[in-house]
Amino acid sequence: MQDLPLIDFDHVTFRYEEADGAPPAVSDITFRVGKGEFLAVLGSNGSGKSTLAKLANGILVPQKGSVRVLGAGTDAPQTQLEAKKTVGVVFQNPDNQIVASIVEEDVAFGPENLSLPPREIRKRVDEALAAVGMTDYAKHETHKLSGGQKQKVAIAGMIAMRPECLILDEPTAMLDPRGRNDVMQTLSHLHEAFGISIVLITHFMEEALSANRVLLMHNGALRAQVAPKELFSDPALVTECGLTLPDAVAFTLALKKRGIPFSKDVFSEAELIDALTDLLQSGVRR
Amino acid sequence: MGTLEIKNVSYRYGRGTPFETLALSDVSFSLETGEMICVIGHTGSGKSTLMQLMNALLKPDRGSVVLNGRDINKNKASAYEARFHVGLCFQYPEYQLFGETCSEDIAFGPRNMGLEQSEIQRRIQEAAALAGLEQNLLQSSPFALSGGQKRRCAIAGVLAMRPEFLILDEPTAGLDPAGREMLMETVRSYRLKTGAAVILVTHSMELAATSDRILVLGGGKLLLDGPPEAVFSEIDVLTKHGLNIPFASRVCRALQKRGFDLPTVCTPETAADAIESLLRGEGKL
Repeated sequence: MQDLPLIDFDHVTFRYEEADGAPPAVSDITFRVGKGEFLAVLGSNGSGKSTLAKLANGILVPQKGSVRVLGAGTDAPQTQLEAKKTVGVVFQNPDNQIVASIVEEDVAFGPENLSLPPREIRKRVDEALAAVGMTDYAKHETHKLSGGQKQKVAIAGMIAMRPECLILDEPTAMLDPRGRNDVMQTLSHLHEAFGISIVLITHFMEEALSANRVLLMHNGALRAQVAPKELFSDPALVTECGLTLPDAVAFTLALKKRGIPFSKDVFSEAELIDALTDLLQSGVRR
Repeated sequence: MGTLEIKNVSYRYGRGTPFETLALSDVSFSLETGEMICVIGHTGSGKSTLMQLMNALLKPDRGSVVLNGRDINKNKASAYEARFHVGLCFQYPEYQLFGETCSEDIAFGPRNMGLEQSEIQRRIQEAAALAGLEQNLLQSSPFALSGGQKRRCAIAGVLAMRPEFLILDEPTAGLDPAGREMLMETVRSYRLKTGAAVILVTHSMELAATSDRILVLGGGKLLLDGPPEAVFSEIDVLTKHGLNIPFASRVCRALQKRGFDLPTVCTPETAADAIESLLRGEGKL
């Protein structure tokens, strides 16, 4: 059991409309998510990212190939239920995921359905709300929250289920800079403190830098499966897939074009600031 | 030349209930046609409430909203009329599509304006072209489109009314980089073509840096109102309210703190210029 990958995609092809001649949403996808991994999924709109998320816990079942969660295929009702307990998905639009009228009741919905004792439910709800910075809103009405606040509640609802793997489909798309930072820190915390595997689908290239590995989707195919730094060292591939480089990488490239030499690779803002400090301090004429 | 004035506007949700919340408190500013404005603020700062007050979807508890000298909340007719002049496109507008065809959906606004059939047809064509919605999709169901196409269709529905003030609430949320650029191109060309004011609500400080003027909301108050250079020099106010300064400014500021003589700049180009000239000036290149 120890060695089974959490999620195992084996030559997976899926199309929404089987009858018509439309191309499949995803085609011939093979990858694994190991325990404790942090994966980012990048790709332009319509590249198949969200379809992958729905295939990963049995919401969708592939027409070709197989998806296994802890070794069990997602094509049988019994194993589908287990897959959904193991792999939690947080979607793009929180409005479609809020089920209760009060924040803490919404977060409690999942644990209640696991038939946990009330004290445990209370504990999980409090922890989950604290993790996303929404403790003060526990008694608030969900429909009055802003979009970003609702998204944090939806994430808290998943966290309270303590799944082994969390898949998040653009969870920060609607958040302000602090909210985005909070969510990213929350994900890192869940990953580091609880060993939860994270699969983060995002349009923010900076967020992919936190990942161990990036899956690059393009037109329904898995175009590359590499470390984020390797991907962002290949601007041609990034552009070809309709994406952009992280700000720090793009800025460094622009400076290099102006003849400013960098001795080290730069990916993050902190690395850029350090590299520029070195440049500005070095070679001072005496 | 049109003006939209927000005068001492306050608004509360859930009046008279235990959950009464002050969404906006004594907010005042004035917009003119032709301006390109970004509104930034933390989640829950009152941005979306403010946008709905600007075209009479919500009525202020105190203060007034005045369009070209007329209070838009004077009566039902003035509120109805205001919605054609102040076009509002919500977050995730693709969830509001309802027409049997894209063409029908886009026609909804112009039809309610009482325009003639030939003018409605002209508006549909014009709006679809501006929004980048392909001609051959106009007779398709909007529900058969991709996410990006749906959003373009929804935005075309607002453009078709040719509002003097076009408000878009987080129009690029969930779009990939190419989609974001395409949408901004739509907004820019609409503004150039019609001379309308464009008001964008955004969480992207980088996008805000490209506008003429930034309004900063925090805790229901208007905290700052000015050009990007002025607004982004108020880093303490911004970070206190969950915001930030754009990437290039953050880099320059960090280097300033380390003792290098760099300006507080707002775009990657000006930052690169400053860094390059600093290096050249000191003979390090």
